Amino acid sequence: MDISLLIISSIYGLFWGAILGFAAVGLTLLWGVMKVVNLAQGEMIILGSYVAVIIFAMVYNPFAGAIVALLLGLFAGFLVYWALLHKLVGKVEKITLKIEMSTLLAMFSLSIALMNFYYFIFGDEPRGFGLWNIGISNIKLGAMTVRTNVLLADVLSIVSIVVVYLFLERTILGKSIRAVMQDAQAASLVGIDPVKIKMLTAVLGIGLTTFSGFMVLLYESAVTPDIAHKYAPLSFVIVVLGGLGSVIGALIGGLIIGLVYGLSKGIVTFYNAKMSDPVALAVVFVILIVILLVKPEGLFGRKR
Amino acid sequence: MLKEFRSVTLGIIIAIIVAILVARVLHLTTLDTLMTIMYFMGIALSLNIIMGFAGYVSFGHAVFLGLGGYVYILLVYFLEPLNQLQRAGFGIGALLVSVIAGLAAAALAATVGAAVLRLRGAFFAIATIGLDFTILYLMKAIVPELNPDQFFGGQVILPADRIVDKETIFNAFFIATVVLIAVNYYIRKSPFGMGLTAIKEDEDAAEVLGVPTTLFKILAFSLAAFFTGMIGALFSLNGGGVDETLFGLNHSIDMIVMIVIGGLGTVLGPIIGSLIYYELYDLLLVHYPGVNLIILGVIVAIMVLFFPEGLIGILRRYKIGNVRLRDILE
Repeated sequence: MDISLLIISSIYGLFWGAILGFAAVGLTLLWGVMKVVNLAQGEMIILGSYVAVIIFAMVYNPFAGAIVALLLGLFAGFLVYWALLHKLVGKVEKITLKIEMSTLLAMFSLSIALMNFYYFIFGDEPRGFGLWNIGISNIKLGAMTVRTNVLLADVLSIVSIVVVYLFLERTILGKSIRAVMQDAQAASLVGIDPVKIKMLTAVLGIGLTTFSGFMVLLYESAVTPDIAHKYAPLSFVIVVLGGLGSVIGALIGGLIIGLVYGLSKGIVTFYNAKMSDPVALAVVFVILIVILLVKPEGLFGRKR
Repeated sequence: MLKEFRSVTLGIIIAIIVAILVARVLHLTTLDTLMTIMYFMGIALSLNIIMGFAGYVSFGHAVFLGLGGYVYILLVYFLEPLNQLQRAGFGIGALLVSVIAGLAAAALAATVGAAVLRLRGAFFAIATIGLDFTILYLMKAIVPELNPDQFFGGQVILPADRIVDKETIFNAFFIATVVLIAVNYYIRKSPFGMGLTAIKEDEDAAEVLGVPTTLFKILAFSLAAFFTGMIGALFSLNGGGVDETLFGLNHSIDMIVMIVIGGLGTVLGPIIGSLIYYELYDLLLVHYPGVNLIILGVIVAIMVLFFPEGLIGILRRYKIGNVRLRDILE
């Protein structure tokens, strides 16, 4: 077995992992604060990708697309909260299993509607930034070549995660969000309005998710509705691995998943190249089940 | 006087079964239509055992559908005796082979599933999605290796000498559906079903009161998996092959949506729900092609937010004369 190939495969995995981690940040916030598992996570990610593509076609500037994706996502979070979630979790202090099931089904219905909306509007055809010049250049890093796109997406992802982390740790609003995450009842006793915080979390969580759609688009080069089916389950794995509500956990979870994926892909490629991708993904999902069984609070979550 | 009304549920069930049979004998509609209806009914009733009665929502239940399909198709593809068997006995043979597929699904549910059943609520739902994707990707990796010249990307297409005629498949489908309805009806009436309901309402309290919760959950999950596997096997046989899309989350969605529309935890709920779903699916597809599933998503959202008990659940609130509908609709 060629060790250097294995290392390169792992590093590529890490490059992917940082983006995966950021794509899971919105999910971990919603799950942590409201106990709402956003089953429309994948659809929200590619919502951002599609918006970025459309805006790019209009003004020929991908970053304008990223900003619009973020803004639209914030607004979408507002809509999702008031249309679906408020009635189910808004005023509830303790989320029972029954409410949890209702929120799952509500988010599920959103995912059906959105997914088919994409098929209706865009179809199967891949859409991307086309021949945007930076998008097709490469950078040499020692023995390996990396697409500029991927590096850009990684830098943006990690910076965004750090910004979100600082927001949660340092600002009053961020601290309120963490307080509701830990104990909504106690938080309301010290004057925090849980409804306001829950709405804010939905706005922030879904906004960040659509924003991550831009990074996903940079990494994947083009977006199809199928991308959602790839990223949503991986986001679940990362959130479970990193611990609910932990933003840094999401980043580290993403990096671990990326590393495991790259490593197993590298190893399997050595034996049978055709099997490498599905086997690597299967390993990732085995990790999900094992973590859920052995340490359901995640690597960085708090025990409940 | 209540006694005679109690059999209303049974009457409705028998009427639906007879209606399918009459439609078959008089050729009122195509065999494919009837089989699609029975397929929907079958997957809804299977998931109902674990989701409706025990309250465990399995979002990755399509894993058993896909596994059943793959096991059946690969068995008859590679083993000539089973190919002979599936043609024998006007559908009995195909049913027997699909039982093997169902057992494979049940074995997965009783082993990995049993571990996953320790989780509750959203964690269980997510874990089943994980299980679904694990098996999906494993199949995608292994199946092409079995016959590299034929099975591209994990798709298996049965050659002409291994395809079974539709009459035979219909018979097998029909028997499976009737058995599945009977099992649902029996569970609803039995102490086992009451135990599952207790688990749904409050698992810790049920445990304290002496319900063997772990055993009951595993049993319910394995039964649900067994029948889903059988339906998946017959569905794939009817389609003449199998590919990875059978593991798709959209199949899990189908099952869950039908149960939610009809009513959780009842026998009639999934049956009526699947009939409504089929009609809705058909109507929306004809009149609003393209946006049909968007409308469906909105309908599900409205059901969840405003009518979480489903159609049968709503009916059960009312009275006709001095008969409470909750006494006669199960």
